[in-house]
Amino acid sequence: MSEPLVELRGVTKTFRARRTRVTALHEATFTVRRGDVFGLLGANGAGKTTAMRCLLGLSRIDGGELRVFGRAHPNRRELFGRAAHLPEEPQMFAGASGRETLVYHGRLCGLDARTLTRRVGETIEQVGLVEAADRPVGGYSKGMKQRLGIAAAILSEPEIIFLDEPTRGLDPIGRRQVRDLLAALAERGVTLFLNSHLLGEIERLCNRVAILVRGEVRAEGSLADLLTAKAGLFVRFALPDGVDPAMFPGAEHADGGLWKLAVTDTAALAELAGRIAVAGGRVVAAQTERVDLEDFFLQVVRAAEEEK
Amino acid sequence: MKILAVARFTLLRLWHTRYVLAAAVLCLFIFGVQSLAGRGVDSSLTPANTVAMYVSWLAAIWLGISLVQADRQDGTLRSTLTRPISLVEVLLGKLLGGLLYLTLLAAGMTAAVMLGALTDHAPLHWAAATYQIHLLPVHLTVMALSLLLAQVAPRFMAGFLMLFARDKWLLEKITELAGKLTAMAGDTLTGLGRILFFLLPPTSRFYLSYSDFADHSLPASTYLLLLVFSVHYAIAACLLAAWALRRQEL
Ligand SMILES: Nc1ncnc2c1ncn2[C@@H]1O[C@H](COP(=O)(O)OP(=O)(O)OP(=O)(O)O)[C@@H](O)[C@H]1O
Ligand SMILES: [Mg+2]
Repeated sequence: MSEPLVELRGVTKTFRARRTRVTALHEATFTVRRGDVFGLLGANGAGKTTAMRCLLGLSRIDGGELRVFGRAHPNRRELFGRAAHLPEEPQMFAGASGRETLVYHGRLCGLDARTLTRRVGETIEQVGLVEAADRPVGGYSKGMKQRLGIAAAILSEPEIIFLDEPTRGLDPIGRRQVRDLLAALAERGVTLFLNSHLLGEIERLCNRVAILVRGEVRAEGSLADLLTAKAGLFVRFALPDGVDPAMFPGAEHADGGLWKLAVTDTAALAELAGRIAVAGGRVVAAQTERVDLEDFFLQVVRAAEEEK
Repeated sequence: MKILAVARFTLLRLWHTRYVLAAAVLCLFIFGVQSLAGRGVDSSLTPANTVAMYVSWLAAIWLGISLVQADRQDGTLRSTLTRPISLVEVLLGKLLGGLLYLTLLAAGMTAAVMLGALTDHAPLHWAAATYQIHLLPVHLTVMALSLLLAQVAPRFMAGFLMLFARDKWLLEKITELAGKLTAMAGDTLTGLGRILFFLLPPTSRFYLSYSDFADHSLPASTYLLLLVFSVHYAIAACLLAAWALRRQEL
């Protein structure tokens, strides 16, 4: 497994405002490794932005342990020399043009004049801002500002990019562009950390996800693992009265008085069918059932609600 | 070099927010003052230069209290700080940008005074060419101190305080007060005043009036000392301001 770039261990963050306390993160734990496209999912107010800001040292944590690039307290120079951040609402000086803004950010990243000109041109093209590049940012639409923010984030070719809702405010074409852009970056080995509640996008882009529910991490893992844990080849079977279903560990009740059990492959299916026959039952159906991320997300959130 | 990037962007901001235009208007105003007030007066360059001194002093205070605040308001500071640059460097860059602007203003106002004098056939003095420029180190200190105050107090309060943060004036007040006290208390107070004089940033000690400047020119060594002093005060102010800013949500 590749080296971890970002680690949270039991991180807690509480906001205090007007004598109320909001626990934005409660013992949150997850890891992002080099090369991952990691999606942090959660409903509005789940704590995604807070987690990202804490990781970048923009917000202080109240408990737990944070590691970025293997260090508990990376200095800002190192951190932002290797990482870039697309904030939730990119804010910029309204008077400067998009190009001027990018040039400023490029200089802050220490790009030399040649690279700067090349990268600014490239990124403007990549985010589709060619026509608006020399207009003042103050006159940009929401989506154009977002595109400029993405351009600024990818400008210095960082190792890891933290993107807080990258496709927010974008039209369908823009979303597609950004998704393709991010996929291309991931292809080149750039680690991506995305916050989003747009599950379709996450499902298309990410290989690992964590689900935050009210500041708690309720699921974490590779997207494929998480979804297949809940899905796969399901066998529905009937058992005669008096047979103990405990003979089939993991079997769940299904509609029509049937039992339902997941199997990993066809060999396991054959073996299970044999055991069912021995017990005197019969296989009613065997079919693959897919859970998509949305179903999975809702299951996780519901399970968390029920616990409360 | 990253300080330079911030300074350049600061100038860009001043350009796009019409500060440069405002400077041009101020220069025109100084030209007008020279053309009108310089007429027939004995030391004909004094009025315009004095007005110019006050103009640039106020500009230094204004820049000091508004440069960082503007960046905080529109989120530029936030996004700048997600780059490999430290807060102190950002503040130094802001000051450098402000200083470049003030240099531009000083050069413009010098030109305005000289042009005004030329059109009026007033006698030119060599001091007119250097007077505004020689004030720059002091402006830097004023700007740095305003920047620091604006991070710990509301802007208008910082600006108001800066109007009185003039060490020469403060010392005069202290001496005046000491004169009214008993001899011993007065001596102690005067002593304290002297110490204070050396601790306070040189915000007005070197604001020589134009006639003083023209009569006995500032020795180069004093000027050099002043320059070193101001740069140190500016750096110290930035360090303190950064310390104050770090405890606030940016
Ligand atoms: N500066 C703050 N002061 C007080 N409470 C805050 C602050 N920032 C966040 N919170 C609270 O922390 C919780 C998590 O907020 P956060 O912005 O991290 O959510 P999010 O998952 O990013 O939501 P969204 O999808 O809407 O962006 C919320 O309850 C929010 O009200
Ligand atoms: Mg958010």
